[in-house]
Amino acid sequence: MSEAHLSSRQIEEFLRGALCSEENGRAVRHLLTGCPTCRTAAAQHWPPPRPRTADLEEGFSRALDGLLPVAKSIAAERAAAPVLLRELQAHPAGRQLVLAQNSRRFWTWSLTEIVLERAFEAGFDDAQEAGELAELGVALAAALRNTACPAPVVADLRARAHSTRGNTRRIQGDLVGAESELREASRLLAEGTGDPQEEARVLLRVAYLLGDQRRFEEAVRSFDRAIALFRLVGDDHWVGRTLIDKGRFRGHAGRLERAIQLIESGLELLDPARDPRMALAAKHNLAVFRCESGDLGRATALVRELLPQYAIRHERLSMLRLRWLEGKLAQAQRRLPRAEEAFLEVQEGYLRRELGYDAALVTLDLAGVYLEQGRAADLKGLMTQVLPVFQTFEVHREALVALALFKRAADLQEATVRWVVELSAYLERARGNPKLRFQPPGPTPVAG
Amino acid sequence: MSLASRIEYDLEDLLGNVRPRALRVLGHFRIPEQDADDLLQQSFLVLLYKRHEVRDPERWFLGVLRNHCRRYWQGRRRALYTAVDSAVLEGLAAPVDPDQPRSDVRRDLDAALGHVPARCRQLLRLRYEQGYRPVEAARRLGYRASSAYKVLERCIASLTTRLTSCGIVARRTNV
Repeated sequence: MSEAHLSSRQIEEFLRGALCSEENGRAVRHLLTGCPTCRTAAAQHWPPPRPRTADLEEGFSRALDGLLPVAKSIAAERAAAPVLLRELQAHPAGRQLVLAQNSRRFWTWSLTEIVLERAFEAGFDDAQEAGELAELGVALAAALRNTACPAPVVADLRARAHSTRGNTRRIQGDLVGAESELREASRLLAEGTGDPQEEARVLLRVAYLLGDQRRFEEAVRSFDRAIALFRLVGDDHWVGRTLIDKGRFRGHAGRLERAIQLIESGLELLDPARDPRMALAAKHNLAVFRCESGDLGRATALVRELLPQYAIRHERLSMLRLRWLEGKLAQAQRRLPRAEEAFLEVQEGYLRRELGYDAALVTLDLAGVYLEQGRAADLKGLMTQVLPVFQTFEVHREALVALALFKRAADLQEATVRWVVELSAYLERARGNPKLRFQPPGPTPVAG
Repeated sequence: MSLASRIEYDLEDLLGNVRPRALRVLGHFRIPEQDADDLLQQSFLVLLYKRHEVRDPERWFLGVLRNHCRRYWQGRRRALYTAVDSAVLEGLAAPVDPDQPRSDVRRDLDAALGHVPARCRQLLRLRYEQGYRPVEAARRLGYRASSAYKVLERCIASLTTRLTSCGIVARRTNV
């Protein structure tokens, strides 16, 4: 047994994991003997003494040296970024990627940031453009590793790029791809700066994905962690934004009252000037949940408020969703011809944009109207017409099987409102779970 | 005021305001002076890159600095666990010190493992005495492969506590 005690220096270095291999081995072997002297000595190294303020002051001043030139350089980069982006976007998407990977001129933090912002914005209106910008953002962020930008800062931006790409994949319906990207984003965050805001943004995207996978409770936990981080950095606007998202998820899980409370709380904190789209989306969801909870008056008032605002912003997809809501309100108010008109318009809008899944959902709402009106022939015609169309889109196999079953029921005049309700609920659940099978409703019990 | 001057003024203003609180954060986390410079520099650089997207730069900066301080201690602990783990593995692999044959190391390790929680003892025996890799050892004890390294780290932490009686080791050392 080695009897040489460890010196104070050795203990300190050992506790830092900074001894050379040989010394480290001796230290551990000695400590394994249970030497009480060295255990006591090690225990005295904790807690470490508070650093002297004077030393910290000097350190602060030293760390400041050289900061100003970096600040000026970043400011210059920021000013040049829009010009560089215009230059890149003058080329087709494929060529943009090649330039991003090979031309050093484009390797700047600010350009990458702007590209990722645009990718996020595009996601609301044009999934393809969002995807192309996200690809570009990932390429630019990766290229920053070849610059003087500090590695943890680059890791943050790469995490942001991958989470943006993950989000666009989610919007495009590729949930497996989205999950892979977000896993990569989380891995990169661990190499990053520890910026709570960066982590919170990845958590938000994780929550969106979990929502699409119908894992609402996990999504809510992700939102709660993001809220805590936004509070830590004092950003009430993002706290509000996240509360609104959390409310939306609560609503989708059927907790309508809680959803309404959360969205209203979020709207109080959200700065609409900073994010007018989110303010509109929040009111839209509030309208949906009020409609679903039977508060048709307030829901209608919100729709009236939103219509002109969406029109000004030319948000085509958002206007489609609002029209869909108008259809549901009309249906709830028993104004079935108006409901039919709205649903037909929305169905055509989604089909034109090749958003097959949403088109299928609104088709079921239309089917519900026909059933309520006793229009069996129109229902049969509707399903005969749309089913082949869905087969050409990326509506997954199990959903197509479910729709085919419904068509068969319609052909046999056995389709009911209950069928529509259960099939709609199934399609919502199956959006993120393509292997989920539909269980057709059993025969309606006959009173007797 | 020119852009360059404005940048200089804003930066000095911001950092001047945050200085006393930043120093308090470093003191609270007991960051050694020789390492405080690095943490401050890292935090300043992040601020420079991200300042324009931050609502409350002072509060954000202090949040980032706190995170850096937490990670600093996580890194220190991790370095210590790695040092202990590699030393034990090497000590069992070949006798480096002719005065301390392998059987002594094995005996001392056995005695030390007697003081760690049972599950950790099992895991560490699989690793050190039977050469199991972390994932294999974890699976053997019914853990998921994805949590193998985390579980192993906790167990090495437990062993390290025994060796050092030192508070640097993370509190949660039981699995």
